[in-house]
Amino acid sequence: MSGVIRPAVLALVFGAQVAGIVHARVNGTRYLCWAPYDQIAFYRIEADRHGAALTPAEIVARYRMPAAGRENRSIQHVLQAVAQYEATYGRPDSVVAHVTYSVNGGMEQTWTSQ
Amino acid sequence: MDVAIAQRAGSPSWNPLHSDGTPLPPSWLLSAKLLAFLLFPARRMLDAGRPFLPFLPQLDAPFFATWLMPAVIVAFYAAVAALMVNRLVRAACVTIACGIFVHVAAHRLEYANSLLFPSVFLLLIGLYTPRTGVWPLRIQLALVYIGASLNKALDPDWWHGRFFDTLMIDALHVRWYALAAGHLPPHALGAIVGALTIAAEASIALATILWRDSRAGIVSMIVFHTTMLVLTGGQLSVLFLCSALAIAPAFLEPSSSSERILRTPPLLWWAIVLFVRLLPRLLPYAQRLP
Repeated sequence: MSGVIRPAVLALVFGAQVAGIVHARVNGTRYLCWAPYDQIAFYRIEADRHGAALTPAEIVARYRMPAAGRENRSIQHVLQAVAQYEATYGRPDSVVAHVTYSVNGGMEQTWTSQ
Repeated sequence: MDVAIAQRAGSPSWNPLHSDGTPLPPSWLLSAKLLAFLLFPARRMLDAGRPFLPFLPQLDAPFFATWLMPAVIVAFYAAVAALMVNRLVRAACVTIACGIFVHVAAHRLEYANSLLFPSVFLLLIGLYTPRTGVWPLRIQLALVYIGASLNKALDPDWWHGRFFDTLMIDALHVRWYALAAGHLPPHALGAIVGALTIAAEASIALATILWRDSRAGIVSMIVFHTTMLVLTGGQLSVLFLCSALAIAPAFLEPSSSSERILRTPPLLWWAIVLFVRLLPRLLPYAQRLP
């Protein structure tokens, strides 16, 4: 690898992590900032299509996540994944997802996909 | 870094247990093989299929959907094979790391610190140059623990004790912790352990970057993750401890005072990493012993 590319790659690798650490402070996600087991969130995903609730198996098949589970970094990761699914692959299905979660033993909150 | 060793000419052995005769120092190559072993067989990569909820929307394009992951898997396995038999070792390290990065970029749900940690170190080993020596690895290790300690220090739940109580009692069901916490004021034990964890991680970062001896950071990391492993009954820190042990040869080798450690047979490193990797499977058997 040439003398220019190696330092550029090193700067990119380290810079991305510094950006990740700063970004984590702003939007609540924990990507590229080395935060495993920094937040324990128990969650439950429910979803309905035209008023009919999806089964837990359908939720697993849809989001590739358990219908009820634990997130060890940030609950935002679960919410972003569900939101991304409903905004892309799931858009034609008109499914509304609700994620009920509790962070670090705190009060339950509910997030709903648009 | 011993440049003479790194640049030793000659045909490298095909024996995976030998690490001489490549552009990498033997201890770095040993670390690379151990890290690749931890990532192998990449079953989740095999099972993941076409991109799903990618971080980069472009990876969802039909152009990538059919061939991207098969190509990544072929490159990953070819690189692991080349690395193990001491061929194209630097390119192999970069290829393995980039394979993992692409896999994660194409599958949001696959993001895991325990997957990225060995991958980043493999990339840095692949970028080895005698001029910078161990410094890129030191900076990387410091970044990991600066990030880890900062994230915790800025979260009130860590200081309050709520986080650790939830982790140890509700998530991991650690009996000794629940008993001890029951004898103390609410959240007191969680607050103490939380503060100690933040201090320990900050200390690892500082030791890694400021201590003259490059071994300080990696040794403190191994001690920290061993402690976490014991405290959680083998439920936490297994993969990070394995990764720490895997990169340890690269850190321990450069110091001229580490002659004794240098003579540690590579097979012993393999045995230690393998043992820790299998620990979660061995513990249930050990608990059944009288």
